[in-house]
Amino acid sequence: MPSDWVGEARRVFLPLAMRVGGGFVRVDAHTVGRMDECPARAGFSDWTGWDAAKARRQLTLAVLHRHKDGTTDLAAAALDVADELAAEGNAGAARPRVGDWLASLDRAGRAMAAREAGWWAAAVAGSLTRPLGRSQVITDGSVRWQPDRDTGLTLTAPLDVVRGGLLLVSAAGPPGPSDRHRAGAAALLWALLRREAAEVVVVHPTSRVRVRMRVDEALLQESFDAYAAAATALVQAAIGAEPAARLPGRWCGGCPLLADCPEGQDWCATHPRWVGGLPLRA
Amino acid sequence: MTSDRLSSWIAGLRAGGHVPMAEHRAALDEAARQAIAGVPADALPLRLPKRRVADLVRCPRLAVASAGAGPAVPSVPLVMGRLAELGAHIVVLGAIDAAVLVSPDDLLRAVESAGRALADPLAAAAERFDDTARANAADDLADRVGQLARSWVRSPARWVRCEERFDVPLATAVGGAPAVVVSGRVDVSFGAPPLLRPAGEPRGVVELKSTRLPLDPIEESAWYALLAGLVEGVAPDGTALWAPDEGGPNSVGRLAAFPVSKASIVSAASRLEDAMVVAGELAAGAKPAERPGWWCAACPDRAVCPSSEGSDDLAVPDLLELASSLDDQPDGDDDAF
Repeated sequence: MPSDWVGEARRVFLPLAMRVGGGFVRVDAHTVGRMDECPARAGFSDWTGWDAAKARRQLTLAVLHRHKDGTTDLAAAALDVADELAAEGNAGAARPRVGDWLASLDRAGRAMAAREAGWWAAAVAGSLTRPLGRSQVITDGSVRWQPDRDTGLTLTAPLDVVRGGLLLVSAAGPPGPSDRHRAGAAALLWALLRREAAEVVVVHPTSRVRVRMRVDEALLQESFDAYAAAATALVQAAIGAEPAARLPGRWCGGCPLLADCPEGQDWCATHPRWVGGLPLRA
Repeated sequence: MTSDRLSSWIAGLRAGGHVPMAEHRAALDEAARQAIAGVPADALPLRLPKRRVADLVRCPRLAVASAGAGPAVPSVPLVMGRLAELGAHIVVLGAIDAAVLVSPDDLLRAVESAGRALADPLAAAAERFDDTARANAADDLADRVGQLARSWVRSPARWVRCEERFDVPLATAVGGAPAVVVSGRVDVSFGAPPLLRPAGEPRGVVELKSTRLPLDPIEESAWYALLAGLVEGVAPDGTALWAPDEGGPNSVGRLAAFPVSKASIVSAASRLEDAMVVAGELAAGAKPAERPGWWCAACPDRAVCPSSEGSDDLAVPDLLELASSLDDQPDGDDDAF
């Protein structure tokens, strides 16, 4: 196992970055985590613009950044922060950031963004064992690393808060096996920025569950291998060298690519479909 | 049920019920473990939002049919229910001027704007109403949201949040994922998180109904107390359900408020256990049993289920409750983030 993670990462990812050149390939932790299911689905972006749910995390982090003392009513602060970000935003931005999107809304629209951030902020605060205090809140909610700044290959992972050697990542949904992947992704990219983390805490605000994970070589290696495999597949697809593989499975039912995917259609026609554990008739 | 204002109820709510949940969680974990015996790994986790729990307890076939039904057709009552919900949230979050509240057209536009921010297809359907339907919708909305605004006026609650989501993972399946995930959303939740809550500050949850109170508000309020309690480790101090009424321009709607007791938590937990047993049997391959009742009227399988024949003659506890249940959207399984 390498001790020089930056050197190893440059050795593996720089050739891929060179192939990307001036193009743009973003390898995010969510995509990496879904490559084992279907690479074509994992690499497909169905982003259609901001909405209140998509803005929830970044607006929450803006709220937490402004109010770290642990005494503020964070739910009430969410609307004020949404108003502040809107005032600083550009409603006509060609590639809008969250503040630009908020600037395009009226007060009722911003209230819905604040609605989402209000409960999420309260739930994150409720999942901590002590107030944020001097912790560093990562306001854009992610850590990024590029093997070469002049090319368009970027690795990213969610990261919310840093406190000393402790990284905190909030995650939607209940805890599960993907927590190890989340923790590894944040720890690896943090390490590639030449910073050290001893532990990652994944908090699940909706269930208030905290999953602690020690950062060791095994965790970093797992994440490194997953990013390398995903980046290779995504770059190959992006430059037209090799289309992303299509692997049918139970995830096909709700896939946005299903209409153009014979493999997925065949799988759906021959396998029972489950919704929340209940088997539906074919 | 009373005509009290929500703000009065909140002001009178006292902290200190503190029904501990550890024992209930342990029992539910064990029930979840037993429920998934024989369930293929592909089917896990069993996901149990409020609506599915109710369906499973009423009729297994209804639960399967409802789970497989597509998105609800945006009928006028459904759209109005969603608009009223969004309007209520804007009021509760303090994001609306009094002038807008007395102008039905302005209120409708504000609520539609809220719907666009949420990318909510149901709310968007109102924008396709013709002029007459829009005028009716605006008046209806102004009535329902106005009642809530008069009930919520000067609420003393802190840390007020809307649409708070709860997930309760139960037991652990192969691979470390939860075996069962019970989930729900609460319209209004107040009280700081435990670490940050000053002594004496109450914790409460309120479910806002867009048409009328259900026939059995105790059962429904106990469900929310169970959900919040399982997530937070201690049940909230009080729960309430609120709905508009026919009371005219000065109405503050109807309020049904309940203390949270060990008995109410036991009742809701027992109901959840029953639902888990049925869900586990279905997931393991059992043929869905048919238990006809008044709920057949809203079942997607009504036309093809032999047991639904004659269900029109079965006792309907309250047609208004049926309308109310149809008005509710099922809780989603998505993990939007």
